[in-house]
Amino acid sequence: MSSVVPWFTAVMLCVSTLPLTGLAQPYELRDGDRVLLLGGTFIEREGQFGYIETAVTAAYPDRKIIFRNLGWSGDTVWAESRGIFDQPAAGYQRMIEMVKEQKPTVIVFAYGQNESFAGEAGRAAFVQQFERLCDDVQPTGARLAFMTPHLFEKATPPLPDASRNNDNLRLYADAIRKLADRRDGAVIDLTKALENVGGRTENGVHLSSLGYRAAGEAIVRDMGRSPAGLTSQQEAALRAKIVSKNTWFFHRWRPQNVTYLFLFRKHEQGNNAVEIPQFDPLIEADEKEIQRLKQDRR
Amino acid sequence: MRHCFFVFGVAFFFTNASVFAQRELKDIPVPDAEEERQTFVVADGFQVNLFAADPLIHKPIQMNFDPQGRLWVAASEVYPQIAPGQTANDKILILEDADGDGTADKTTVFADGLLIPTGVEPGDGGAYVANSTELLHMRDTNGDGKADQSRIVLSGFGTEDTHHIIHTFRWGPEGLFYFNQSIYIHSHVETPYGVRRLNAGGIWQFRPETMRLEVFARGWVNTWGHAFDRWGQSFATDGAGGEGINYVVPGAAYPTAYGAARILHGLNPGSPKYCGLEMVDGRHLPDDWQGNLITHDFRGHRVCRFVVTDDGSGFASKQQPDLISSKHVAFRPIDVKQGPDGAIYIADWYNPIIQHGEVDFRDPRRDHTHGRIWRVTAKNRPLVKRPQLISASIPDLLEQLKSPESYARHHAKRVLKERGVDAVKPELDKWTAALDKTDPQFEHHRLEALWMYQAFDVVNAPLLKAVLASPVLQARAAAVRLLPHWSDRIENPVEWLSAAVKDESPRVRLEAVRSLAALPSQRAAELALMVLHQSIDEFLDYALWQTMRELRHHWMPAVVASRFDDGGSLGRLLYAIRAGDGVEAIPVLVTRLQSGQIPANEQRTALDLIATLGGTDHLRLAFDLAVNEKTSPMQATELLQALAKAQSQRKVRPAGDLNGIGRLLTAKDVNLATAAAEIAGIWQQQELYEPLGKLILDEDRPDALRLVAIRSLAQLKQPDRLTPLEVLAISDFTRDATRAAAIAALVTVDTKKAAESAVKFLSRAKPRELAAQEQVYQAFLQQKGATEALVLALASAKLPEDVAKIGLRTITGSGRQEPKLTEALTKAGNISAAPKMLTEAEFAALMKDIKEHGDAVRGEAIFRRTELNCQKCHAIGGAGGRVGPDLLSLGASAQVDYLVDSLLLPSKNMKEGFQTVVVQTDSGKVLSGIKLRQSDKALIIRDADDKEVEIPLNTIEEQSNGSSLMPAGLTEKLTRPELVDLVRFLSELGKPGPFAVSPTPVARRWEVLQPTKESYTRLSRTSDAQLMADDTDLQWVPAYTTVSGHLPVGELPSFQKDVAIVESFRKVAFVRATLNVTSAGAIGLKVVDTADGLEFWLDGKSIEPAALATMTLPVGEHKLSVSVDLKKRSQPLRLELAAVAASSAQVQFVTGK
Repeated sequence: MSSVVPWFTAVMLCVSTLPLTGLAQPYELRDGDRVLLLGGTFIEREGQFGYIETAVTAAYPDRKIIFRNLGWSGDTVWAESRGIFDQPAAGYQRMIEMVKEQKPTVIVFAYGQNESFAGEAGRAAFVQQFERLCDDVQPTGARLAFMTPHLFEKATPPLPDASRNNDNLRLYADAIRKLADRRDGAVIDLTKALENVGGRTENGVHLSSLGYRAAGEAIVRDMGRSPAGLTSQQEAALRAKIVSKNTWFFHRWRPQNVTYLFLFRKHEQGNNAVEIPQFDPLIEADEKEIQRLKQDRR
Repeated sequence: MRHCFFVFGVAFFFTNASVFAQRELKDIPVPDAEEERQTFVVADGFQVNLFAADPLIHKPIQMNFDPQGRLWVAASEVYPQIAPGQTANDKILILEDADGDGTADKTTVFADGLLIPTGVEPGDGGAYVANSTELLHMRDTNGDGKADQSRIVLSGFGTEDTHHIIHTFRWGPEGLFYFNQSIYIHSHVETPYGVRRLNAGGIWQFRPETMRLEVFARGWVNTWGHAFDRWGQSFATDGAGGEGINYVVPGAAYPTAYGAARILHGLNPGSPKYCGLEMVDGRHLPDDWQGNLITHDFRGHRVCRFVVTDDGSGFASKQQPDLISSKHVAFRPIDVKQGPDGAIYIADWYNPIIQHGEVDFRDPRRDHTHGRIWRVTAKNRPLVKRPQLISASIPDLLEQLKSPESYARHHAKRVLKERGVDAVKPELDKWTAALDKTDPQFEHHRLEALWMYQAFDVVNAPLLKAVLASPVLQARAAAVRLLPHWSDRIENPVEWLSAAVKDESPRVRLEAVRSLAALPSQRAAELALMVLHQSIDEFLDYALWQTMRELRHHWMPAVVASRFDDGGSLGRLLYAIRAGDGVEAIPVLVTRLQSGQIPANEQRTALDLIATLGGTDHLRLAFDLAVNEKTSPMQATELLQALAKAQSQRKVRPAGDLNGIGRLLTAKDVNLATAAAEIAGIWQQQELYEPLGKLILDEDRPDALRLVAIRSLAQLKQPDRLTPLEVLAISDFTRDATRAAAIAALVTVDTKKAAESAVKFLSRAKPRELAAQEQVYQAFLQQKGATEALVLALASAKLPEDVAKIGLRTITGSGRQEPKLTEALTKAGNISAAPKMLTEAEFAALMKDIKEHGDAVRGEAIFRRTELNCQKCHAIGGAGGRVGPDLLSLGASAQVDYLVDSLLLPSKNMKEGFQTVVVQTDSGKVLSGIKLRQSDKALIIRDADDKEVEIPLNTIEEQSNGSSLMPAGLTEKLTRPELVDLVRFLSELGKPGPFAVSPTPVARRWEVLQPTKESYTRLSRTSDAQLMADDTDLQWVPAYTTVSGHLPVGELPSFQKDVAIVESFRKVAFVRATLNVTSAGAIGLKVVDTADGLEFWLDGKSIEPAALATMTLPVGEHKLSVSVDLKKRSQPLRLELAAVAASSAQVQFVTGK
């Protein structure tokens, strides 16, 4: 893991093999930070696994940091999964609005994996759109962090050898590092951090629980924090609460039946939309529990 | 009149909108299973017993058997929406009938903690489970019967509507996994092969062990049924579509498909919505049930049966008498499976309230706890012995592939698959080699072997080759479909299909064409086009068109480089270019045309293509030919029409001076002159202003031509003096139709002048002359900003009340809100103000009246009244307009309060697939209608006139959702008793009884000859026979039968003696029905009861009534005309299709508007 490049901290810059200019100040999570996660299946499933969030949460027992997961399977920097009944461009605008509403202080992007299937030919367009995305979230004033995609694994046949796409993934990871550099953002280099973690994926592509756990540990270490030292029961309780909070939040921002609640059939069942903000107190209650559980060292 | 328009004498409005839906539903039945069973009317020779019910199960959504014979059920209490604080705890249940007595004796909760699981299919050591955004695989690894492992297999499925989320899980006969999603779902799924996306409905195909995920077919609203026949052909049903059984062509698009330029349709247009689908067979069922399809009219509480038979490359589907019908409001059959014992199992969702679009998510009457599984058996027929598959040896399992029961074959394959390829393959090789060639089922056995190899994804090239050459067409078709799956492991796979494209069976040719699309190469395209050598039908044509489009990048460069082998047939090349929108191939065509390489008989097609796709220089060629005196008027007309399309859709026009078109304005051929007049406007040929102006004022020229010229003139720059358009618009001497057209045209030129002319016209218009008034109102609504001018002009005007009401109604038909115009019309027409509110008590009294005093027979007569125009927009059983939903099972699905609600406030409840869109184009036009679908080039809507309108996407500036096209506040002219009867009629539709559309094929849509001047003249000067033989200048308008299929003759417009047309005292009406023959052969028609007073003509030739029973008809549409002597006949006319023994013909009555 020594090759991992620092995430929220620049403390590790000295051991990094990559020049990360522009990060003069130590980069770390601060008390009161609201961290927003954006990306595809990797981020969406992290909401259910919760390993990364648990590891980072536990690593800051004395600071209040909250996470909001806006992952959406199959997503790209064009918000291709977020158009719903509209073109992706409209979904992109909604995503930008939603990002602003969340008032993040830190935005973590996890893009590049899905885009990488377009290979070298698609890289320039990817970078250009990613730049635009960074511009468009700039009004939030949030610090930006860029996760690079983890490498695929050669899975057991008859699953295909997904690692054939790894040259493309490296290409895109490299582009993301350069982008982060231009944007004074931090790099969370999962490409390198997980490279040697065997069994990191379930099917060659998507992280297994082992993969998520490894990602969480690597990130904490590279932030310069020490492992939280929770017992496995304590950690399980914390993670269960984080997953519970994420589940409520999922129903809050991406509710089922959105067609009837908010879109073109709201004239029929839009009255039920009053229920959706009722998830907020549930999220808040879970957040309180999360703060308590992460400090619970008994 | 353009849209359904009800008017009631008493004004009703409600004080509280939230209490409407289904509030009339107060008689919630006691959930007693036996009481429910007693309501079943079961097909002769069958019986129903309760297999399982609550508390053993609840709310079953999907079910599938496993090889042990256990029934897996996906059940949801959370549906329709998780509540804040609620823990998702939906379940997968396993029902077991250990002693085989036909009732479940054990339920196991296999999985819980799920969120609205809408699908379950056992397999791969556990079960695949739908969990909203995810497809899970769950396993029980410690043998306690409960899943202890759960793995996300795929995720990213949309949840925009919880009865649309992934559903209908199936194993195909070849070991692939199929599942569906519905119209509102947008899915984005990451796989090792890249992201797979599917917007709107479709069927997915998935191989779990390789994670290869593809879209098998697209479209439909709710594909809640998918079944395979024994040869692997797919059929689907739609729980919100109206086309019955759909034959699924791989890769095809069906109604509503996102982005599809062209679609295929179901086999039973005018059907109710169907949920679930199962192909049944085996020894327990009678011979005539073998291969039948079972599905559910879940809204009408019916279990329905269909027979599908070959029809060219596709299939025809005929409905049979119901298996079960019931009046029990909570009987909701939604899934069906044939069990290990040969019985038919039916999942009954048991709910008085269906879905959640119309009824509140939290309605307390929504049932969350009950559910039943019914079991249907044939009386006096032995059950099938339940096969013991789990304990069977591999050779025994292979022997099961010969079973006459699909259940045994299907599950034996599943067990074999899970035993693993290493153990099974040596035995499979042996078994296949030892198959008895003399067995009549040998070809099917061999196909099962081939599928087994496919299930293992182990290539067996010799076997594939052998089945490709099978004497049984269905086996060949299946082998052709398999080929692309092995194409990476066999040599030169494209050539393997070179025989199939020439196969004698159109089905095999269709499969070949679709498989070639999966083998992308120039050669594949060349081979596919070879099917044009033989006859082409709808499905095959679609398949070829689709394949040529998909392969476009592989053959188009070859055409451009003149390397494409069209086998010496220019027709093939033209087909390809048309299918592939081959703009870049046009220069090739032009070169060939100019060097005389295009034979005369193909020139027309070639030129049409050039005009359709070509650039300015190419269009010039078409133009020069069109204005050439030697060109026939018909061809010149076609060319001009194609050129007009090029301008309006692609904004391309011929190079050079186009004034030559002026000469054609005076052409003798009306069609040619009209085409010239039209294009003069489209091209804005200012030099033609004078001749066009002269033309529109010349009353000797045909009306149709003048109307087009009026439109064209308006597209030119107007001089600064009184224009011909204004003359026509202002003058009270102009005939209504012409004047309306002139005013409408003037709207696009000068809204103020147009508004003044319009108000002058409307203030003196007679209410009866509707069309002209509607046209005027519509013109203002369709022009951006024009209604403001009309509002101003109306400020000091008075309009006849009814004329103003037509305006209000036209606003509704536009799908837009126009509050200012509404106010101006209300004032100008002195229409009484806001309708009276209806209190809860008044509403209750109305409901009571409908229940106690409503008369459905009288209500049907009111529904059929011309002035109400219901049928202009709504069909019943396919006959009628398609602007609004088909009403055939309305009463069985909707509660009475919902019906009243929909009549009075139509925008409150708009059905899926009937969303109105309002589109503003770059030319300032505002168009509205029901969105049908959108391709990459155009948005296709159905306007309030029931016309499909294609709007090029590059002309759309703005697009928004509109309100219902059905007029609101339908509160005049119907008396209260009439309203009561009308609602009663609507509430009876689809319930068992006289207002359920019967499955017998009967002519429901007729056309009636109008007694116009022309037809009277013709009848008096010639004969009935002459009248029937020649359609020229005759006006036929649609008429629809009653729900029972009878055409009342008393309502028909008739030709009478007192107009002195004939010497005798005669009163006669002429009607006709259209038959669509898709497979030629003998067909029979039956006139029910008596043919007294009727005479018949088939395609214009007289035919004796007795000869109707057997007629041999070629493929195509045929018209059966009937004269009805109204002096001799008063009983209604009912015409049925009658079976002809051993006939291979396929025929349907044409329905629609």
